[in-house]
Amino acid sequence: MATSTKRRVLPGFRWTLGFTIAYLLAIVLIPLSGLFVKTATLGWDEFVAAVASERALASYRLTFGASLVGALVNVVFGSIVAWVLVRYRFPGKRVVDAIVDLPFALPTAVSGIALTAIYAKNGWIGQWLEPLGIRAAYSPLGVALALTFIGLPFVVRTLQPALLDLEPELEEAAASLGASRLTTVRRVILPAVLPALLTGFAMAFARALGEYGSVVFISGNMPMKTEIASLLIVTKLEQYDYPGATAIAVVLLGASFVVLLAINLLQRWAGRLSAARA
Amino acid sequence: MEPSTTSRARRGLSEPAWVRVVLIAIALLFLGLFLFVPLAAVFTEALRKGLGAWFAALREPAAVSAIRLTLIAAAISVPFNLAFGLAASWAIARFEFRGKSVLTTLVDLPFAVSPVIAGLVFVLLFGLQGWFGGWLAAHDVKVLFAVPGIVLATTFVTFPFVARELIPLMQEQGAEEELAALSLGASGWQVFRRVTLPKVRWALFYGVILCNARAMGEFGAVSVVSGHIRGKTNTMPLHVEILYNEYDFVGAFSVASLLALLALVTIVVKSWVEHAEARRAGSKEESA
Amino acid sequence: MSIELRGVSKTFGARRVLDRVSLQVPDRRLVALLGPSGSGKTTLLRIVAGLEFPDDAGGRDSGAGRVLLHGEDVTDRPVGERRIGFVFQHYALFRHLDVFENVAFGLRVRPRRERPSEDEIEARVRRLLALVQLDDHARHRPSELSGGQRQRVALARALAIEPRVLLLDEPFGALDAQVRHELRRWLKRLHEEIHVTSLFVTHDQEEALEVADEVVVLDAGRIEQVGTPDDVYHRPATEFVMGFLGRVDRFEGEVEDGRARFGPWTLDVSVRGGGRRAARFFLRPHDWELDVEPRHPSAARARVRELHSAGAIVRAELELESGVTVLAELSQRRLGVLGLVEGGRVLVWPRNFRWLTDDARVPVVESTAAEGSRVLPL
Repeated sequence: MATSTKRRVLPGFRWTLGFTIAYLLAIVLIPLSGLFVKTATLGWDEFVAAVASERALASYRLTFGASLVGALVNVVFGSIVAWVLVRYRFPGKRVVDAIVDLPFALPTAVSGIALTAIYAKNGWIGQWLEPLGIRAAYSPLGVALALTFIGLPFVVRTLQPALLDLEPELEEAAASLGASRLTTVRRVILPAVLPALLTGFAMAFARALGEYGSVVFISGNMPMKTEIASLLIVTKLEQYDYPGATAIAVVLLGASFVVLLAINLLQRWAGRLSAARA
Repeated sequence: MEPSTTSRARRGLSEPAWVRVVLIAIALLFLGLFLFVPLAAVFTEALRKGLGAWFAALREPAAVSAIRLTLIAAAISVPFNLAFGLAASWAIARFEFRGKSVLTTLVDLPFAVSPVIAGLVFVLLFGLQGWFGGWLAAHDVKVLFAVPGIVLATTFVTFPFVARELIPLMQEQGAEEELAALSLGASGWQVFRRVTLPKVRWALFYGVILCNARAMGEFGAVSVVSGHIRGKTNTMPLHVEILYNEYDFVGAFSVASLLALLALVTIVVKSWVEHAEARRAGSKEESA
Repeated sequence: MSIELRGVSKTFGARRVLDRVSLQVPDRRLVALLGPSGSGKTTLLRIVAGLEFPDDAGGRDSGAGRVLLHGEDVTDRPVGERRIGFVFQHYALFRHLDVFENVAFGLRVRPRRERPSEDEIEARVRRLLALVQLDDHARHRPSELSGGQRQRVALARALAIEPRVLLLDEPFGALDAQVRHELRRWLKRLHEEIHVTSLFVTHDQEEALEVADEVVVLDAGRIEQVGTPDDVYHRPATEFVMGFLGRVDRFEGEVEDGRARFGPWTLDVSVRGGGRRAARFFLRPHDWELDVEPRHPSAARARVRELHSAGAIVRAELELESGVTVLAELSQRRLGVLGLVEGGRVLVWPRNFRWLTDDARVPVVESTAAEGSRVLPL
């Protein structure tokens, strides 16, 4: 090949890329690598002991379980919200649409104390649940409620553009072929937005896995009962058990990366779907 | 003008009216329960003892110091992440190079890291047993449980926000206008200032606002590195936590209400920016 | 010479887009770069502009390609220093600036000592807007303009810096048919007025033939022919040019000692002697002679399959006895004289044709009209 040096027409490539990589290394990659280096210095037995202790296992069960519940609730209600916001007109729609981002913009500590105040047994909602024998605050249910709150924007915001992109012709074709409205929704619309729906679910789930601020207030933080994994990390740090904290962090981070990878694959799938449609 | 929903329903292209009403009701109830009620609770609790108590809670020295530290942390981390966002979006959205998709993924990495873990990595790095811990102790530089640690953790957590707003937009806009400006004799700096910047200003503005909101509101990561020294290393969210745990609910919710206002401003800016862009895109399509 | 390219090559990855292209464009010409998509024409234009750079020297090439503007070697000059006016296919107007500021941009970004005064800028932009007939739209945003208007803003903006050459990438590509036709004629008139050497890329042969003084035909990264529209149409230098400009019917056949045989015809050719060789024959729609009487010894029988008579020129699809179909054009008057109808019979033979043997590159032009004095009215 005759090209020896690649000349670029627009200026600034070298130094913007250089700065990007240097900054990424300094702020993100080098600090994160410390986590893995630290883990590597742990012995295998020590690592397993930290990661698989009864208390740790209980915290994973709660973290993954409540995250799953929160993400699933968001799939159901987030889909309805997205559908209503894209397809229907009603007064105050713009405000409703905007407020969906609240969990994203509201500091987690603020959501945490607000949810706790509402669901405590003398709170606005808690006082109605208490007589029914339902304990929302300081219980696994409270954790799931907090994780539903913080995952809410993800399903709605990934589903909205997918619904907007649907060609009306698809539904018109289905209707012209005699499909009932329910059949059209189930057989035509749902498959088309499925990648987006799954992506939203995975993003809500991933966000919930690592959540801390909104949960610690409402959970009550009882070991083995309402202690989530990220709280366990903090507890171990406060006891200067750095190896233990690091080991659990690696498990949590690993889980997040797996979900992130799944999201990437989902988006590639969605890209192929829309490319095939175009 | 689109055909009315009723006529669409009659043609089997929309749902019957009662279904629509039920779905809207479910959506509003869900959002009301999960979003409006908590938001209302923040302000109700903050003002439970009146405006005077609210003001008093914010004027308390520890609160003032927390507000100041929050502003400092944001004032340092946001400009750095802004500079990074501009550089990264220029490099990624304007050039082709090997490893670009890996780099783009790495930019998003902090999103996948739990804030607690973000704090932890800086503890491991700068703690006494950490890589730089010994050196720092020997030179009497405090990073952990001090302002630098808080700034670093905040920067980590808010790292992708500006870049994330700019990269997709700049990729979609393409580089033709920049090339046109170059062909007309503009310098690299002129191209950036006179063409690129005006094209992305709203997304940039929103990215900065969002980055700032997250910087000021960050809790988990900052909680791990701050050491919770009252009046010294407490940011607003940490101060909220302390007051809450001391059962000073009015104080906690008063500080929280400031943060909630910030969140509302962020949301308003976002919907305003999106509206402005939708309008422009609309007028473009119309005449194209 | 306004533009000169010497041995320019360009490779993208493993694909060679331009292969040692050399070209000279004399001053004040309006030249079309014509070729199918993927022929390298846009890359060539962008290399002249400095938006792409030719491959460097080294490897098997002897010497790197050079780009010269008005005799000055600008190969290593960045685009901003070349003083070229470039009109982008999708206009690339600055969306945040109004029409006036778009046109003024190239003047405002000059270093202070070279920058014209505010009054001068105003006067110059106004003059250009008048030239492109957009005086009334100075304060409109690009998004408020039609495609044709945007195109003219892009042109005015390029002209504002008083470019040494004007380069246009598919200037009419994004416009609908009617506007395209108007703008073509307008561009030609404008060029007559301002006389800036202009090079434009197009894949539309009709556009190239109508607008340009000179046409450069490209295929697969090589220049096939450079010539006036008449040249490239009537005297194509290669089989590719023959096939790319206008419709042709092709026949496989042979030539032997001054005679050509293809399809049902045996005709004289101007090349005498030589043994029997395989040859290819090319005929344009207006090369056919149609008649109801056998006025030529080689007249062949055909059936009229389809007649398209709505237009100044009638197109007739003729099916030969072998089943092969050819397309012939004739005037409305001739149609009346012959009384052709769909499904009817007619005699057909070539009045002109071109042929080529495997070892030759340039087609030979032949005419059968000289045989006898049977020149027929069209």
